[in-house]
Amino acid sequence: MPKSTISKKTAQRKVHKKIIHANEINTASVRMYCMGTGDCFIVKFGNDESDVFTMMIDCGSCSGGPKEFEPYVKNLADYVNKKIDLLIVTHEHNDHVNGFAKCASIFKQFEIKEAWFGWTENTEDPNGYAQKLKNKQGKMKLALNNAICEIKKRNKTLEKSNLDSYQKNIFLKSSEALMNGLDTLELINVSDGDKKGEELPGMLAIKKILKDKKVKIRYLNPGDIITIPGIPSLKFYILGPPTDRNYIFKDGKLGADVYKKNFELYNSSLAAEAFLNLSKDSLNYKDLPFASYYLVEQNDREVRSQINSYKGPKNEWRKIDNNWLNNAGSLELRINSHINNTSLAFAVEFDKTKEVMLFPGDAEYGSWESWHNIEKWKNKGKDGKHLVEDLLNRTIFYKVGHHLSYNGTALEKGISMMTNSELFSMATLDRNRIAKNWKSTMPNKYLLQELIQKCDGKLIIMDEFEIKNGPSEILDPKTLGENIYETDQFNNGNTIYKQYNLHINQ
Amino acid sequence: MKIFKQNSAALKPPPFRKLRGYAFDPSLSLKHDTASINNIVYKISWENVGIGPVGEYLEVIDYDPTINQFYLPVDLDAKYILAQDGLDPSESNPQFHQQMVYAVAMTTIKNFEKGLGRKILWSPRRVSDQKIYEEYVSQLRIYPHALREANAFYSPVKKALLFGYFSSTPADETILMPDSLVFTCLSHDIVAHETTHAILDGMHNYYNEPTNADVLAFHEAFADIVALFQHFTFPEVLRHQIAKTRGNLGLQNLLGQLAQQFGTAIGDYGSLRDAIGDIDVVTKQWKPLIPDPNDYRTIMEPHKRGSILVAAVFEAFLSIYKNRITDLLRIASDGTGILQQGELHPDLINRLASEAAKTASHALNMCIRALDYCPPVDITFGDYLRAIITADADLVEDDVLNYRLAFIDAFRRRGIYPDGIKTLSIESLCYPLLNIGNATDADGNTIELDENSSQKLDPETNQLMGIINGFLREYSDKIKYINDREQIYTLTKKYISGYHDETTQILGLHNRINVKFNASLDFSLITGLAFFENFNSLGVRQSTRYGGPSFEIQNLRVVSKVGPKNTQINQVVFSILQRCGVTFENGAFKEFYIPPLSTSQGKQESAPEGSFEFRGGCTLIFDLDTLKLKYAISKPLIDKNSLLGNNKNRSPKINIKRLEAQYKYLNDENNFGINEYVQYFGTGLHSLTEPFAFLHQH
Repeated sequence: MPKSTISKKTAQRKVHKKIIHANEINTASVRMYCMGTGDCFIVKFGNDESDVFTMMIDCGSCSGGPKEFEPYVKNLADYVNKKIDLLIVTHEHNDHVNGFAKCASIFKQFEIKEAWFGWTENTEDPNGYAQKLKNKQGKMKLALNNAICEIKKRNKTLEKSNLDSYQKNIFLKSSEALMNGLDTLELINVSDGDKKGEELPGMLAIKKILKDKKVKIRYLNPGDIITIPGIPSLKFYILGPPTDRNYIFKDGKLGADVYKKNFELYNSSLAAEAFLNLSKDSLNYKDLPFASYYLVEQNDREVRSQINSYKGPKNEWRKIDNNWLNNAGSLELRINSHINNTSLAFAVEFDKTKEVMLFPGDAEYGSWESWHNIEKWKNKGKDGKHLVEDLLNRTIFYKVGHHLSYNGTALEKGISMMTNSELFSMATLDRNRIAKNWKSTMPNKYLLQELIQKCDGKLIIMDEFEIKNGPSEILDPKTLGENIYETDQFNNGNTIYKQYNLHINQ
Repeated sequence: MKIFKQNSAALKPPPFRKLRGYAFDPSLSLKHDTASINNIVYKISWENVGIGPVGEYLEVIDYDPTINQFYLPVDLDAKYILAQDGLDPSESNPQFHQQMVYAVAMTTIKNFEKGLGRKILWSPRRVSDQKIYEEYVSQLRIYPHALREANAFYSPVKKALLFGYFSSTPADETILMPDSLVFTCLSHDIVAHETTHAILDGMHNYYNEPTNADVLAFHEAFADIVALFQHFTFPEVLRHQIAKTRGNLGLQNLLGQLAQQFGTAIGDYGSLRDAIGDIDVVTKQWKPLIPDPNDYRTIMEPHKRGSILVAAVFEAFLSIYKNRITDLLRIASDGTGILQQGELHPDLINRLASEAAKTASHALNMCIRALDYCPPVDITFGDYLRAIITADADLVEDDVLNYRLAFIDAFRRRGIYPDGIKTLSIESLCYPLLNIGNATDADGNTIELDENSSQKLDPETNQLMGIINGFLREYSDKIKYINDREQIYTLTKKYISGYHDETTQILGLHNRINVKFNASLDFSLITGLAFFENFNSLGVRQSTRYGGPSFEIQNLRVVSKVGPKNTQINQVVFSILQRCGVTFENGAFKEFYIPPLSTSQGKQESAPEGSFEFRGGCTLIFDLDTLKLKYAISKPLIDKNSLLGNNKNRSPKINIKRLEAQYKYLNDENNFGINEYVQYFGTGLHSLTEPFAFLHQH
């Protein structure tokens, strides 16, 4: 059970004896629940008198079942008194949504006023764009799953084969590495059991809860600017997911070299087609690259020598039956990046001070770049800048994208533009509880150092386990004082949450 | 038929088999201005080929694992095919694809053999049986349709080239139909590039192991260099492009570009790589490349880093070419050197083209010859520059056209400086001449004692070196007359590992070195390897066979060439490699361990946590005419400073500088992140299983 958390605000509020309008907002407390690498945030906007508006963003983690999730979610339920004014679900990855399924019974008791998703989740859109995308994703996920099953099956055959152990060890080692990588990303992207092609259970669960409760849902497009009725002092700017298909599929580490990855899902389509055919018994003639008369017939005597040369036991080590399956890795990376780019990315602006909080979900480079090209925001920022650049300039809080990986934060079009000296960041990374192969990419140490420098050490990481030169070496957040930084633990010593209390300058 | 048979003894086989194919790739056949030059006839040295085609060097097997089907193999000897120089270039006929890969790969192989002056061998297959150790591989396998992705690679484990096909997503839909199939095996550049990977692997097996940022980049760059210069061997293409650029090959032209269709197909505007310029992202206009010395320090991704080397070599080529045509331009412009507007005279084009072809062939040969002067492991671009300069200075005494300066200048402009030299001049770039050897002839008689030897070694080492040299001359005499590649391999192996039957007895080179140098600090100093008693304490394994320190001998070969002024070199070259096990803890070197047998690769259990194998190596070049050790090009395992002096009690230390640099490289996540695919699905940088497959993932 959590230790009782008496709000430190209460004490502090008594100091200010100013008359405050009921819905005025000059504080925002951002609470990051620490249930493992993955996002779950409660942001309470308010003033020195009371909380005005509660926002929840995502609920997921790379690791843990219902039992592990429950204490956190219960704490969360207490904290918000089971009332959420605005629920935002950024994108369909397990580390952002699986909590909704694992603790569905708790969330069912919540009173949720409104929920927001990116346009990519609007399957009832008459234009059918989102549905088309979902279908494509589903097909790709099925193909991927087919490939993964086949890889595992063939790995077993390989283990039993009587190949010379020198080659065999090499093949086994690489197939093991491949499977590890596939499992890591499958964990984030694909449903369990026989529902491989379907939406993730967390997404299905929260959508069902919202539907049952008849909660008002908005699907948002980049360029939307939203104010909540009754709370004129907050402005929400929707940045992503991009509507231009060129961006939603785009990854990109800048550079002229075309070896930069191209994340058009379609690029894997030819391989995906073959993966899908793996589960069929007969040859799919539609899927041949050449006219079928070029195929060798079973009884073709003349070409027997070639077939024997390929299939003969002496040449077993030179067979290439499995190499093409490695493409499952590329396909999986594409699906992963693509879904990251469907993140609902948004900025919240405090009307009074024009200061900004930035929540990009897990948007990757392609999405970040697209924000700067939102047509109607051209020249709308200070000094004729694009509004997005201006928003980034004014950012004082940044939820770090994609758990501190290189992909999750754009450099020139992102972090470089965050020039405000007040910048404070939070990153949802915990190397104790993380998908296995994410360890090699998170944190990206250059991004980490850049952020530490930008924030003067005011970067809160869920858990700094195994992180060298972490921000706390520069600045111990506890020294900021309890009215700025709070944290609490379970009896077993595990951190429940880390919280940043933001006070708007007046 | 009878008449034909009777005469057949008198009939010589033709010198060439002519095969039609694309000079670049299918996309250029669709553009009006290049269609005419894209279809060319490859002239391949005649050999008997079976269906596939299957020849002496290559075995094309068209099995498509993605649909579990074989495509009909082509019979190049079929009457109609022979009669019309092979099948018509066609994207939709897999048999033409087989013909194309065969033609391009054979052209590449022959260009190499010309440059090297000897037959090429594929890298042998390693086996787990320690006694057999490795097996001869006669043919490289080519699978034209092995993958469904925008990728093609050489597999060192399978000794095979795997080519992929994919559906395109072009940035420019006027050049390539969207969703059309693109076959990587139809691109001259890609086939030549991958074949070069295989050839290089046959010469320098450990260049697959990324021990510094340059190693994989070198593999990529070298493969690109070969593919690029091969463009200059197609006369029609060359003349066309010279006419188009009015002789200025520094302008945008097809010769300096690689893989047009591939580049367009994966959604960019230009070719995959361009040695002299690139397409501006914003303006979509081609612009020449300006060398930036910072690139070499900051760019780590192997292809991009390789491009720096390619650009350097190409610039050297361009300045030599410009130098060679100044007189022609003056003649053609009444002495002004400035050509008139309008098209060039066809005669001038022919002359310029011939100069360009000659220069390209010289530059390519310089690049290929240099391979014999490279260290066997851990190569850097700087080492390669030294190899180019040394090799060229060895063969061409009088560099009247300043070829060597052109190379040095081009490298310097890109900030590529070799390690450990004080000035950037030809003299200091050349590897130091050793002239070690108390030489003896084949019968063991002393020939002379060299007083001017640059290194003062103890007389014993000098004498032993002489004996080794005599042995090498014997090897060279035997191998000279053998043409069959398998016999070359077998005999060489006998000379390395030793052999005996009723009639012959060969005490192998491996054994000789072990017996003679197992406790020679001087030999350790020359090679930078552990040839002293307490080798065990530095993590070097004991040889199961000979008892001394374990080492590997690679690539024993005879190098004989004739230079332009009839300078002749006769050398025997081989490399010695040694490894030791090292363990790091918290970023610092902790201790040594004895690594497991090399044949048990892949098994993890015996290596401790945080450990890797650290390799040193040395290429020894013996001059057969003077019977001296001429060069020792070393990547030392041992700190050479700890071996200096004459004291018998010198205590050798590990080369900690190299070791730490390697550790830093292997553990820098930015390097590990060659691409995202490697991060997720790789087996770690120090044991990449399919290095080239991973490199090209996107």
